[in-house]
Amino acid sequence: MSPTEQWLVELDRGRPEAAWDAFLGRYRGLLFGAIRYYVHDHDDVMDVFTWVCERLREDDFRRLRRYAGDADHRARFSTWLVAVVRNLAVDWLRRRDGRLRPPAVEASLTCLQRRILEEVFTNGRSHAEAFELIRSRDDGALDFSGFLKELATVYRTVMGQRGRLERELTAPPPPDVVVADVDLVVGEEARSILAGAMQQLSARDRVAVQMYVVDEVPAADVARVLGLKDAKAVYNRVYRSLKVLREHLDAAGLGRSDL
Amino acid sequence: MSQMDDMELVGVALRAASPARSREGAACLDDQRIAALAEGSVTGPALEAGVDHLAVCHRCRGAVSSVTRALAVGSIAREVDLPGPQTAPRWARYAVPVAAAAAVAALFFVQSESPSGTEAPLHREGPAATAPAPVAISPTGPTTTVRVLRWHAVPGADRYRITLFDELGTVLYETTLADTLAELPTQVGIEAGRSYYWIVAARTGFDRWDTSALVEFSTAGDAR
Repeated sequence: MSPTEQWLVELDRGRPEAAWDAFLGRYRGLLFGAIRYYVHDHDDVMDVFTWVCERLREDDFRRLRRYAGDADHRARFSTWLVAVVRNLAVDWLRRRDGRLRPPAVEASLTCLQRRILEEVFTNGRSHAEAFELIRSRDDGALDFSGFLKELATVYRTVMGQRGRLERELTAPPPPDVVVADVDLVVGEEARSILAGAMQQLSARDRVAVQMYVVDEVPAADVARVLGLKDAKAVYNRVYRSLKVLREHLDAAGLGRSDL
Repeated sequence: MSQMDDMELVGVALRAASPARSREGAACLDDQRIAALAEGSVTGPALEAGVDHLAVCHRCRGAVSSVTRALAVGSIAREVDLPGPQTAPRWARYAVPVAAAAAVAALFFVQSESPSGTEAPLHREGPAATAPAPVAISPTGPTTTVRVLRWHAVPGADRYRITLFDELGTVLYETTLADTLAELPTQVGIEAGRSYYWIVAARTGFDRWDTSALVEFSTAGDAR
């Protein structure tokens, strides 16, 4: 048998149904594994699976043909398929959230909390952006402290019902939800200083910090992505970078209470 | 303040300052490049370009992190068949003493693998379907001027990927082409009195590459 995959052979023979059967037979497990990883609710898993299948089949298998036709595959087919599933799941979630919001969630929220839900979860705004927008449009008397309390309530209500991908696509929870004993509010000045401090780092150090600290990717996996020797090389870079960032914040006179 | 305190403080601040969503730009990475970064198969200038983009693009970095984490999940990892945590860079296995080179070369001759140096995924065929591995012609052993790498054609191969390493295993040059010779760009400096290593991988099927033995050559003269 040729080293070519069976589904591709069938596609070349002009037998799309046989090609699809062969493709699903080989990759159904991977598709479901990736979808279950990204999506929380069982009904959502089935809907996303249907959506992914439709998108992979559309335009005479355009996506699959394009990968197969590439002269130079940088990624394994199976890894590429995981990235495609994630991308399509993002599309599905945005389409769903654009036209429908879970009624059970909305019913338990106040008017202000629904506005926060809309700006942070649906429109994807940062907390600071959402606060400024809501204060300017809806509630001029709203202060940031009060906003954070309402925001925390929204997160508590919503997060338990969300899958991994939905959490990835939403602004991170406010500090009082993430770390109970840390009370941090990132003001505009502190954000600017932090951004400037990050610019002092090399691109590789910046990505290492973001992936390891913010995205919580295991150090060994960060090493693989960045072409570093091992997890220890990541630890070294991250801790050295954190020290630099900390020094910048200290030099600017910013401590926990300012952040 | 301890490192953990630093990490907690800066981490929380970075998270809180992160935009929730950013738009796709013209320079954003496509699915294949995101997947390649996540699986760790990008090297050389392509890796540098990818890292530079991840440093400024929240959207693509989030996607790479997300796929990277997904690949570590058991049910997905079994299907993708990625290797375990990386303990050495891809080139490290090539940076071997000369005495061990023969064993390494023998291994490469009989083993079919991807250019990423990782194990074959499940969807590939077994060894019975292995095509002949490409064989280097020149340069090999002691030599003088090196500007061109040559190898024998492999029946059925439509692409070849060439990777050149220095003594430390650093990737100096990597390219993919259809021909059976690769001319080294002038910016790839081959210094006198040093050893270099190169391999060529032939694409013989869908997502299938057969890799040559590791070839060493050294240039005449005194090392600087």
